[in-house]
Amino acid sequence: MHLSARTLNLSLAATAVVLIAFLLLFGDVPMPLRLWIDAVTRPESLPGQIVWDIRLPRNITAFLVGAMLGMSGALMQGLLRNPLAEPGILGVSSGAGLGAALAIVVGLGLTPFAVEGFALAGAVIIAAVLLLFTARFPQRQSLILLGVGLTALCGALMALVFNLSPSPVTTAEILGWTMGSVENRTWEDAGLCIIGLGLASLLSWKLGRGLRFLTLGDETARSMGINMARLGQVIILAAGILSGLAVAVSGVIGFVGLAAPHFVRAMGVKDPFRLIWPSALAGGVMVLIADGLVRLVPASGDIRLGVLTSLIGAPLFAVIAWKSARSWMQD
Amino acid sequence: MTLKLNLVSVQLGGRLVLDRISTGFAPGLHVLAGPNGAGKSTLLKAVAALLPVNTGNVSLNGADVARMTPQRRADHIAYIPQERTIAWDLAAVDVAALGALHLAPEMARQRAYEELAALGLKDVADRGVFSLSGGQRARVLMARVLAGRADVYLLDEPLTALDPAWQRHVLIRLKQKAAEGATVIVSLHDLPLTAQFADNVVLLKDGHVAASGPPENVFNGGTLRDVFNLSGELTRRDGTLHLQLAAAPLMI
Repeated sequence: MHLSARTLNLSLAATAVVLIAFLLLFGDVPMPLRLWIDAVTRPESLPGQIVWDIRLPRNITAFLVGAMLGMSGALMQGLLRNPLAEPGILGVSSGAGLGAALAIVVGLGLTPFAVEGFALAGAVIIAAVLLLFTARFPQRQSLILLGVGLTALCGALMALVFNLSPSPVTTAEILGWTMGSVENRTWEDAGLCIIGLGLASLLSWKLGRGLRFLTLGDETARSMGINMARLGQVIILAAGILSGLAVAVSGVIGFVGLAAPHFVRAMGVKDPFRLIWPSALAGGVMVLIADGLVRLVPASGDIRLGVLTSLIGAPLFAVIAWKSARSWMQD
Repeated sequence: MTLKLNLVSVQLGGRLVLDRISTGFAPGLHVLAGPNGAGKSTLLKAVAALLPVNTGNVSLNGADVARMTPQRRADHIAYIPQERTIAWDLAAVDVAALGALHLAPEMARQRAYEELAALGLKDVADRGVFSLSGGQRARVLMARVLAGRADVYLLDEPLTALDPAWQRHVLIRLKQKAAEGATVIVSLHDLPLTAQFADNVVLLKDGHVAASGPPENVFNGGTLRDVFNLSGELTRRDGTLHLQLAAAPLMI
């Protein structure tokens, strides 16, 4: 299939709007037509609150979290020129996860925005280390090595948090959070996501064109006037904001950041700069579909969103990888 | 534009790869030749300011290349590295259009189509580069460079992966570019082609300039033996220089 970036953007945006509207129809409370009329005419009524304060923010947050993951994945793959790169590869997501786990283990699980704040702080610390490192060593191999090291360190510290967890309830709470969910998310959560997407879009728009030249390798990009250290820092900053906020808002949701850019490439958009925004839309649609399944399919009711995205994403990714490998074989 | 290297030394990993090189390149087709490890690629990278020089400087019409802003340098100097990386499966025309930054996007694509057609890639211009052969990809990257408007072209072994007919075709195209006033510096291993096409040859050995000048002066028996351990016969037929090489035993 070969779609232009514009057509793909429009199709994905339309799909997202339809899905967001469609998923408003479903939830724990059955809503006959009479209640819908109430919800629309009297937003302050109980049906109104269910639709506008519970279902809509959940749908919008699901879409925005997916968009952040998709955009972050596209940026990381473009920077590292590696189709296997994803938001977690440099350790930012792990840092956010560790921050959230620390907040829960010190008893701040129920304090408003504490888990999100700690998660964001974890992401910021890791991103700061990466930024300092990139200023000195802009080569992608060095960056990947550091990222692998930071991810392993955060993983070890996460294991330590589990190890020292004061009670099984706390452990279960951390574990549940790491599986990802957009249940009970609010307009404030959606607002955080919009700020993150806005900042990252601005940074990407300003310097992301450098990713095109990076397609031809570091040396060629530098010879074409691209400041590699600056490009690396901007992309890490944008991807860090996105993946850190995504983990802060919804916990860990796997595979979307990896699969969304691949989906966009399979649709025919291969330019690493033009890929950024369709990947965001594709990621949003993916998380919306997954969250819809969590809510609508009875058997998946107890499955967490992050688990479901991985369960769907892994085979989907395997199919895309197989198709890509087949096209490379013809080379 | 005239490019000058003034006592340029480059050290890599503790090894002196270029040792106080001083030479100049006026508009024309220049070939850098020399055995593996002689410093050809390093010299091209040093000229493009992709490597810091330890001593000396490179100047373009008197301006220090290392002190130019990256953007200004890119306006004047185009470079193709030896490694031909294309990370994503972009259409050939989109890769070639990356070289025409000075034009509006539609004009850049038009320019890219023209350069691709001139390099025999008209029919595959809209195909993804992953579906092209190695030789076709090399020509796409050449089209990318030629779609620009640089004054200096630095091409590191651009003929690798090309068949003999396309090797000659590309050299003819580069010769045209040089005739239009560009300074084209190409690293090559093919000495007979160098003898035929080069206006000037710089022969490197162990980080030094072993000889430089027109091919008829450089490719004399003594220099070929000293630098490559080869002997050769240089003749002129129909106004063209021909170099016939006879290999001596390799000194392993």
